[in-house]
Amino acid sequence: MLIIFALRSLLFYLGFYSSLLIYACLCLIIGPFLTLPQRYPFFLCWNHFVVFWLKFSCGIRVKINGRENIPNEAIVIVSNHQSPWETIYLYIVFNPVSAILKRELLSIPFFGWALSLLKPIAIDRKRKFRARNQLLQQGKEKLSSGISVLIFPEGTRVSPGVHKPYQTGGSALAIEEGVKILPVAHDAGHYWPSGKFLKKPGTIRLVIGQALDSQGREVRELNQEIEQWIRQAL
Amino acid sequence: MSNSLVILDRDGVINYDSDSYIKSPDEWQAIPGSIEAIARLSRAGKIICVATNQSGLARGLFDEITLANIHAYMSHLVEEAGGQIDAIFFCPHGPDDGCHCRKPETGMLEQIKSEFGLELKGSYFVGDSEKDIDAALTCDCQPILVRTGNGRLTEQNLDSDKKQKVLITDTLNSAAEIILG
Repeated sequence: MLIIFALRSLLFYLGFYSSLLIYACLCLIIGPFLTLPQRYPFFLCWNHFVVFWLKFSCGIRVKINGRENIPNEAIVIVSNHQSPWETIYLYIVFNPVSAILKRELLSIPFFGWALSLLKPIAIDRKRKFRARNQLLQQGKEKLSSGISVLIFPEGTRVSPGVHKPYQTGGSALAIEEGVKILPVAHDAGHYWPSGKFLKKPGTIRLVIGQALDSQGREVRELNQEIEQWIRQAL
Repeated sequence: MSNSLVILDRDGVINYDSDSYIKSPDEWQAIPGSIEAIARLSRAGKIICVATNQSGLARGLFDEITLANIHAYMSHLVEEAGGQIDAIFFCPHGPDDGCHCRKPETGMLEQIKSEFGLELKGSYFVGDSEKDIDAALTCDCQPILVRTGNGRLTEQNLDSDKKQKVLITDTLNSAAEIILG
């Protein structure tokens, strides 16, 4: 059984990395000639491919609850972070969306360079106070141009047996810009664990909560409500 | 010692311990000065990790969501004091489960090492029990024993060999002074 899982995971990674390399090159060649709104659907073809490939090679499917809760406007989306999966899949679900990520990712050859063309909000995590300002400033620009902002408040991927404090940047951004904030929870780490080679077949559950009005809310209290919801959703 | 990592035990070091376990945020009471001490360490650029045995989970006394709420409360207090706890590692097993994470085993310390990519050697580990000291010594951390929680009892029962390797001080607050030199 283990051997089959290993072979399937190997197949996945072969397709994953080769498609990444090829498609990133394609994006780097064509991307600069497209406007930002045109880049999204073009770049996201790769995300769609990975979702298909994950199902095909490893038997990992996705079940979404609460898709009807997604408002038809730019919002702040807050999600737990367990796996590379959510960074790929949530781009599809909330398109167009700009994720907040650490600056180092953009210097990964090909992948990072292509990702830069989508103008994500890249923050310098080592300088905590500056990171928050970057988030608020660039987040504001995205929201006012109609692009939602996706944030993983635990900062990095979290393994079982670890609690990372939920950073308040996402809640602060929503309140400051007066936009809705949407909590999202999933269990992708069970099937595609971060930093592990083996993947487990099954169905990832993605639960989309009710969008909360941020107006008149207090940052800390809104953030706690979001954290509680995410922890209890699964 | 120039290591940037500081590892803390929770019950009896940051908050008052209880024989009937800390089962909710209401029961979690900070030891005076501990929150400020953590904030001070964090502002000085230290990475703050908590490593705590929580066998109350295995015993069914509370669930992981409640534990997360307790930790959110603790983190919130530290943030209000101007610092940050970087991560909280907990062992959910009981003493007889034979796991590798329950102190004096070193699973949580190894996890800290791999999550943060930091050397354990030379890091300070502040605890109130012999389990903390043993885990710290196995990983070449510098143990600091505080006299809060079970600390006084631990100090009395410590053999002289171990006593030489351990720094002993009153509270987390004075431990922070040692760490910051």
